[in-house]
Amino acid sequence: MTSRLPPQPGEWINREQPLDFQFEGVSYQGFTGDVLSSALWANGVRVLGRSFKYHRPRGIYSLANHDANALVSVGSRTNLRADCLPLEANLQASAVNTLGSVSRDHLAIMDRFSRFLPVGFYYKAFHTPRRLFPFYENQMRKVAGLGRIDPQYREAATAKQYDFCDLLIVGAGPAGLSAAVDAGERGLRVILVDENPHPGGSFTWQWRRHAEALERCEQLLNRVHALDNIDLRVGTLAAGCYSDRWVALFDQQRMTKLRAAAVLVASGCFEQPAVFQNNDAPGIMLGSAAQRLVHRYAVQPFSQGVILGANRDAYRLASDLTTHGIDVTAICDLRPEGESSPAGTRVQELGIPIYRGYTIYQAETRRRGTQLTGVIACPLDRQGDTQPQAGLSLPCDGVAVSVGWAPDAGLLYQAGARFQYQSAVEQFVPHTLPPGLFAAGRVNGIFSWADQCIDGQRAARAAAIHLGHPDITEIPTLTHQGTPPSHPYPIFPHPEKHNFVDFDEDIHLADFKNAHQEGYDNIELVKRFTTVGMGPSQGKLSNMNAIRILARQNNATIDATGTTTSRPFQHPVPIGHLAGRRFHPLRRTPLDAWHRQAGAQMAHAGAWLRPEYYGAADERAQSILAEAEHVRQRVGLIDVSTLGKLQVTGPDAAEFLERIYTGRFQKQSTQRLRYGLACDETGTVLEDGVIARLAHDHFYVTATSGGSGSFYRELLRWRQLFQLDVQISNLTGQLAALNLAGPDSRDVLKELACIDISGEAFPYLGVRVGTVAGVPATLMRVGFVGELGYEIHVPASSAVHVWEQLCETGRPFGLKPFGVETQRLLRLEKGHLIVGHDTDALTYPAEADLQWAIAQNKPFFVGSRSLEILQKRPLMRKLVGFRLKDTEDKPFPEECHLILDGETIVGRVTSIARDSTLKHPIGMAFVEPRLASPGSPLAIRTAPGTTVTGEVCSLPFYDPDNLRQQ
Amino acid sequence: MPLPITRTSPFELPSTPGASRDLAGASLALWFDDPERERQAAQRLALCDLSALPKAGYKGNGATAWLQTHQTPLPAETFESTRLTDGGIIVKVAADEYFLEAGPSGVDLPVPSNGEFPPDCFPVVREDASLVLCGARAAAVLLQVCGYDFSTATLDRVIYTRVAGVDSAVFPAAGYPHTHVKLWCDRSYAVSLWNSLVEICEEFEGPIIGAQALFTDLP
Repeated sequence: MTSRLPPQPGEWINREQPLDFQFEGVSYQGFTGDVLSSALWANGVRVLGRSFKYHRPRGIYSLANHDANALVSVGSRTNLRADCLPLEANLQASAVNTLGSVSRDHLAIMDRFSRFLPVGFYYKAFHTPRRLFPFYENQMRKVAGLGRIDPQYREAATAKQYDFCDLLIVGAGPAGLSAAVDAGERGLRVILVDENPHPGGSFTWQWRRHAEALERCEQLLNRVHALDNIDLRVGTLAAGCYSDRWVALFDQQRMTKLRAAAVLVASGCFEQPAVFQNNDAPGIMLGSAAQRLVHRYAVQPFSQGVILGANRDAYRLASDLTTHGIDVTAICDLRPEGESSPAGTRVQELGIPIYRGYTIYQAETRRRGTQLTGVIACPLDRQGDTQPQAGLSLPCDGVAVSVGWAPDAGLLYQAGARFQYQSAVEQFVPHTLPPGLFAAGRVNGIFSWADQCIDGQRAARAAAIHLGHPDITEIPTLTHQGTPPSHPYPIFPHPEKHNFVDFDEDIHLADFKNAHQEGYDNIELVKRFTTVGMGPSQGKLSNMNAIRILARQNNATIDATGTTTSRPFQHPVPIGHLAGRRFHPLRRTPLDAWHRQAGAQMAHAGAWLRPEYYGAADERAQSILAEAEHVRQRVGLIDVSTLGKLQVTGPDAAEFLERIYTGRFQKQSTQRLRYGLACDETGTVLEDGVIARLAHDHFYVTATSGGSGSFYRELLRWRQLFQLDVQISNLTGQLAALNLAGPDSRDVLKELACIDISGEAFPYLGVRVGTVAGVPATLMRVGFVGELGYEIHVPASSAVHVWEQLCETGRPFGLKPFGVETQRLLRLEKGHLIVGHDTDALTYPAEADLQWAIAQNKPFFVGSRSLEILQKRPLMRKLVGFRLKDTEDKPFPEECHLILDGETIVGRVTSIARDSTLKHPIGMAFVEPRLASPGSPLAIRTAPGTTVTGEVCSLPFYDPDNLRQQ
Repeated sequence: MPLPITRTSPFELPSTPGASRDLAGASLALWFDDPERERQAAQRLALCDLSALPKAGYKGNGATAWLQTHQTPLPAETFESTRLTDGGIIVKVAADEYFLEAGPSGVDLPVPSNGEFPPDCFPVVREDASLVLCGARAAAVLLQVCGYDFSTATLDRVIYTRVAGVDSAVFPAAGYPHTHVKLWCDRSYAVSLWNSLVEICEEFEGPIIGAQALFTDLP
C-alpha cells in the first residue's frame, strides 16, 4: 500500500481487519472501513473511472457521493459509487463505461473527437440521410450509457417501512449533532440521519486537528448516545422530501417513509470545483476530499500538491497536509488580497509559497492524461481574466481545490424553501422556509464549527417552538463574519476546451457559450440543452458554476438567473428499495377458494378476481360454450358477488333515488324490482342496476362490479348536496350474490327456499326476503342471462354454505357452475348491454337505446338538463346488434375493432362472440345512425387488416318475446 | 343445541385447530398448536382470526335511541368505543351509525324483541373480516404496512386508514392481557390483507394463534 499513512486519530479503517479485493481483475488489499476509492488510492491506483462522453480518465474528486467519477460494477449490481462503496472481503469490482479496461479504454479516442461533439450535436446530426438513422442509433446506443444492466438479476425485495418522529435532523455534523442534543433534551422524539457510516460530519475531516472541536464533538456524541429519544441512524440517506414533511430515507436494507412533525436540514455544503484546463485529471480533487482521505481513511491524497484556493479553508488545508508530510508546492489564491487570518499567517510560517491573485490555468498530464505532472499557474487581472503569458510551472502530482461551497439544499428546495443569493458568503442561503422546516449550519451560510453548533441549537429551539413546546429562549440568527468562503467566479476559459463545468456529462465552458449563442438564456433551458446537472450527480458540483456562467452571459445577477428545480431523489437509490414489498390488494369473492378447487380459470375483472369459466386453460371456447348451453337447457350457478350492492334507507330514500336515477321510484311497490339507469351531470350513462323496494323507506340497489365504488362515493356526494334524510350503505363486500339461472332453477331453489317461489307468488322482477338453506337471503327475479333465474343475496360469511347447498340440491338437475365469460356470452345473446363495456365515457342513453328507462316529465334527475339538450341534437352513433357472415378462414374481429365505410371509420365493436348457442357469431357495435337499421351491412377491419363483413340485426338475438325468463 | 356451521372465515388458516368453539354458526379456533405456546407468542407477536365473532351495524336517526333502549353502553363521540358486557365492542362510526362486534360468547349484540326495528333505525349487514395483531412486535409489523403513527394513537378509538393497501378500521385496544391491535376490513379484501400480514409476521417469527390466547376467560 503505497499511500497509506500511519494511524490517524479517529480514522474509520480497522487495521486489524485487512481485506483482499480486486479491481479490474487486479488484486489489492484494504481494510475494513475503507470505501473502494480510498482502498484503491491507498494502493496507488489513480484512474478509478472513465468519463461519460469523452472517456477521460478520472480519479477521486469529492470522496463524498457528490460526483460520479468512479462508478463501478460489482457482480450484477452496477453504477455503484466507489466513493461510498464499503470495502468487503473478496469484492470484485470493475469500472463501468469502458472498452478494454479503465487504464486502457479504447473509447478514449472519443476525446480526440470532442470538438465534433459539442452539446446538442445529437439534435442536429444524424437526421439525414434518413435511411442511415438506424445505423447511427445503433452505434450511439452501444457507446452511450454507463453500467450494463443484467436483465436476469433480481434484487431481493426489501420491505419498505413507515416511521414517525417529532423532529428529523438531516446531517450529523456540528449543527446536526447540536440540534439533536438540544431537541432531545427537551424530550422531542428525534431521528438524526447521516449518509456516512460514522456521525460527526466535518468534525471528522475538517476539524480533526482542532482539539476544542474534537472535544465538543465527543461531548455531543456522548449526549446523543445517552438520550433514548434520539434515534441516530448512520448510513442513512435522506433522498427526497415530499408534502407535509414526508421524507424518504434509504439505508442498505430498505426505504423508510418517514413522517416528521418538523424537519431540520443540517446537510452542509458541497465543495465546488474550479473550472480550468484539464481540471478533471486524476490527482486533482477538492480540498475536502484530500482531508477526508487523510483523516477518515489515512490515505495520502498526493505527495506533492498545489492548492488552488479562494478562502480560509484552503490555508487550513495547507497546514493540515503539511502536518501529514505532504509537500505543498504552493497556494494559488484567486483573491488578490490573499488571506489575512491566523490561518494565512500559519501558512506563511510554514514557508509555503502563496501566489495571490493567481489561478491554475491548466493542469499538465502524461500517459494519456492518467498522470498529473504539474500545473501552470497564471495571474489574474483586475477583471479576473487570466494572463497566461505570465504563467509559471509548478510541478506536482496532486491539486487540491478549495474555492467555495454550494448548499446541499435539495431537501429544502423540495420542501418548499426559497433561497436568496448572499454576496457575504457568495452562496444561496434559505430566505423563507415553510412551517415546520428548519435549516442550520453550513447550508445556512455558517462556516465555523462553533457557530454551526450555535446555529444547530437555534434551529432546534425554533423547531421545538413550532411543535408547541413552551418557555423556550430563542437564539438569534447568526451571520457569517469575514471574507466570503466562496469565490464569485472560479471559472477560467482556455482555448483547448477541456475545462469542465460538469464532470458527469463532460460539459466544458465553451459548451455554455454555444448554448447561449443558440438562444438558451434561461437556466432551465440551458440545463436541458447542455444536460448540465442531468448526470448521476444531479449537478451537485456543476449547477452553481453553471448559474454563475449564465448570469455572466446574461449580465444578470445570480438571484435573477435562479436555480433549476430540485426533485427527488437527490441521490441515486436502488430500484429494489423503491419497489419494496408488493401491496396491490385484489378483491376476492367469498367463494374464491371454492372456484379454484373446482378448476376455475380465474381472471382479473377490475379489482376483482373472478372465474372466467371452469375447465382446462386450453379449452376456453369449448368450456364457455358448453356452460352457456347448459344454462340454456338445464340450470347453472354463477357467483355474482362482485355486483355493487347498496342499501338506501330513510324517509327520503325514494326521493333520493328519483333524483339519482332516470326512472321513477316513489310509487314503486314493495317486493318489486325496477331497472335503474343513472347518468352524470353531462347526461353520460354512469351506472345501471336493479332497484328493489323492500319497504317504503328501504331500497336495495345493485350496481356494476367495476363502478360500484365510485358510484357509492358519488351517491354520498349527492346526499350532501341534496340534504335529504337518507342513509346509504355499501354492502358490496358484506353480501355474496349467487345467480341461479336456467329452466330448472326454480325446481332447485324451491328445495332450499323458505318462501313460495312459484311463478305466481314470486313473479319476474319480484324481490323477496326469506331464507335459503337456512341463511337469511334477499331473492330477486332477474333475467340478465335471458333465462328463468334467481339472484340470491346472502351474508358473505354464509356464501360457501349456500353455494354448496345449491350445488348439492341441484345435482339431480345437472346443476353446474358457470363463469363470467359465459355470463357475458349469454347476456350478449339476450342483447343486454354492460355499462362501461358497451358504453363509454361519452355515451348518453339515446345512443344505447335506453330512452325507455327515462321517465318523462320528471322535474329533475342528475343529468336531465344535459339530456334535454342532447335529445334535440341528431344522434351521432347508435348501439346495434350484428351477426357475422363470412368468418371462415379469416381473423376473427375483437372488441374495439373498427367498422369502416370505405376508408372512413363509422363505428366500433363493443362486444363480440365467435361461438354462441345461436350457432353463429354475434356482437354489438356503435355505428353511425344511417347504418343502424336491421340488414345494414357492416365491414369490420380486424387487427391484421383483413375485413370481415356482418349485418345489423335487431336485438335481442335470443328470446325476443321474453318467454324464457318469466 | 348448536347451530350448524353456516358461516366461514375469509382467511385460510394454517391447520385444523386443536380446539374450536361454535359461535353463531361459525367456528372460532381456540388454539392450533399448544395453548401455552400461543399465549407466549401473543406477548411477542401473533396474528389471530376473529372473523367468526358476530357483527352488526345500525344506522339512522333512531339508531342511538334504539340502542339505548337495549341498555347498550354507547360511546359519546364518533370513532370512540365502549365495551359490551361479554367482551364485545361498540364503535360509533358516524353521528348516526354504530358498529358492533360480539365478544367470544357471541351473544351480546342487541336484537329487536319482535324482530322489528323502529322507524329511522336501520340494521346494516356487517360481515367485515376481523383479525388481531398482538404482541410487543406488532408495532414493527404495522410500520411496514401502514402510514399511521400508532405510537400516538388513543387506545380504544377506531382509526380509519390503509393497511397493506387495504382500507381498514384499526383499533388499538386496551384492556386485554397483551398489547394488541384489532383490524376490520371489507371481506373482499381480507385475503390480501391477511396474506400480507402473515408474510410479515413470519419474518418476525409471529405465528397464527387461536382466540384463547386473547380471551383469557375462554374455556
